[in-house]
Amino acid sequence: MDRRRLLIIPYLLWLLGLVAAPFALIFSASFGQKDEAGLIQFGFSTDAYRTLLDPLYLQVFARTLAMASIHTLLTLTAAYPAAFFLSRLPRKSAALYMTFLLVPFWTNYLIRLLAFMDVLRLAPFGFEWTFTFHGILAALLYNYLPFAVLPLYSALEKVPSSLIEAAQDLGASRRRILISVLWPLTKNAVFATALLVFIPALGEFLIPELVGGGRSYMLGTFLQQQFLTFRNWPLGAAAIVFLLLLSLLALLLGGKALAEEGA
Amino acid sequence: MHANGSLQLENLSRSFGQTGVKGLDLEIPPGQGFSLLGPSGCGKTTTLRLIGGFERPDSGRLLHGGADITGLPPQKRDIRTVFQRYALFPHLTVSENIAFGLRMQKREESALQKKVEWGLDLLEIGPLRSRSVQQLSGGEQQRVALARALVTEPSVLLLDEPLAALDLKLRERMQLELLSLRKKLGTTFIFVTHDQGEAMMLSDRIAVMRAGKIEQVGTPEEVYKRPRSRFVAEFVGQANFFDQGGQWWMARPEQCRAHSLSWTASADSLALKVLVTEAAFLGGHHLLKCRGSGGSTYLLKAPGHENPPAKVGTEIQLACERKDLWTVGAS
Repeated sequence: MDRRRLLIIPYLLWLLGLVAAPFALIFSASFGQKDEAGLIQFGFSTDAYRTLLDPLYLQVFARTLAMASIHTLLTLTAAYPAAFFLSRLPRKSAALYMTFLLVPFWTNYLIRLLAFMDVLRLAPFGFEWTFTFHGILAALLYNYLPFAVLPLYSALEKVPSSLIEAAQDLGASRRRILISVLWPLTKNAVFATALLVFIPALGEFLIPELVGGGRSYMLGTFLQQQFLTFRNWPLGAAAIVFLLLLSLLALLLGGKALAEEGA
Repeated sequence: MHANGSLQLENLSRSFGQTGVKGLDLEIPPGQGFSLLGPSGCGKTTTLRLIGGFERPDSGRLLHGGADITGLPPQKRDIRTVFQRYALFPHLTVSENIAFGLRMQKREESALQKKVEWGLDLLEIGPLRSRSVQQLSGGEQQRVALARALVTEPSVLLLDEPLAALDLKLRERMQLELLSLRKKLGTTFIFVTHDQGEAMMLSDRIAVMRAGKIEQVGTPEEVYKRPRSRFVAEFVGQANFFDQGGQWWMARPEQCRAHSLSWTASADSLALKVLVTEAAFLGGHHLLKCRGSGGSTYLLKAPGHENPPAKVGTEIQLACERKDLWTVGAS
């Protein structure tokens, strides 16, 4: 046997211990029942799933989906022009701008978020931002923008400026250049980036909790409460399975693009 | 669209810190083959980009058929560019690439298809029509780039180092083809090149550029036989220089002959004792590289069908007729 294959063992152990085993646990817990002490009685009960179908909980899912979708659109809309701007700069200046973009990420997530909330409290643009849905979106945008700019930059940077100039020379307007040249050449990266910011936003907990002040009840808060406050593990586990299925669906829809982008 | 008149550059300048172009004056009549020739960094590509509309001049004017086009964007000029690396759209097929400009002009579909066919025929790439441009060789890509620009019927075509990416055989073939394309269409072709042989072959006139300025404009014969400066003489072909009476005099290697040491030069000849350091047979001619007493290098060409004029390591007299000498300025 090729001994190089042994190199995969640590990864397999990681996959088994930290991905497969916990998932199996969650999966079986979702079919269990909660006992008086808040522990799980394993078994085969679909109670948790039936509870989830309650319109009250479905609303939470719908709200979370809406939040993640709008956030994805917003973030892509903001990141694409920024990435295009960076991609037309000489590499050195682009690296400098990129550093500016990443500097806030040297700070702890919670501290960064609390600082951003202070900015929101100043009611920029004359709007109330704290404890609102658009405040949550602003915080999500702030937090995820660099993750969207980086992959879009690396895709746009591969489009030579001469291609854009050639299109212009042949009479393409700016809009036409975007539609007929840039989009076809970068759409896979856009899909991949969409997944990259959409999936984590589905399970986002801190931002809706802190910025939304608990007024926008999202899936993340729901999960946290089921596991830690109400100790209803089966219900939380079922919600996680549901969330995973949603993510899987998004992956299947965008996965082809993701694979092509990686190739 | 503009009248098919000449293209005029009037005192055109564009600087990029240390580099750029300064005070360019040129007039290129319609249908002419014109080359901007010079070493890298001389400003020839900047000049082409100014004509194409991809750079705006800091000062000066650009006229086409008498109309001021200085402020017009590339697509509003009756000028198309063939980019150095061709800049084909990788997500489109050959036909779709050629159709791109026509689609932007919103041509009617059947007229558009006819024009694409015309372009495919013109460049003899019909069989490639539905291929992806990523599968094409360099030569094929260039044909697509030419077709894509020419189907929009520009009166001026700009070509940035059009043959640099091709191998020698293909380059020679494309040179002839570019010549016949230009004759057939009556389009002005403006080339940027650093290859003097290419410039001479492709153009009616050549502008030799140096450090952002035009050093000399003339027919290939003029710049070769009557260079205005030592720089032009050296850049366009090979040259020998002789310091005579405070002037640099130039003679081309083919104007020099090798004589034995016992030979006596007549009054209308100039002779110099040199040592042959290298000798090569290049088919059409023999090339000798010699060193003079002052350390200067001299080149000598002799017809290839004759015997080699001298052996390496021997001393000879390098001679040329005084009437062949051309002055290139004070020494």
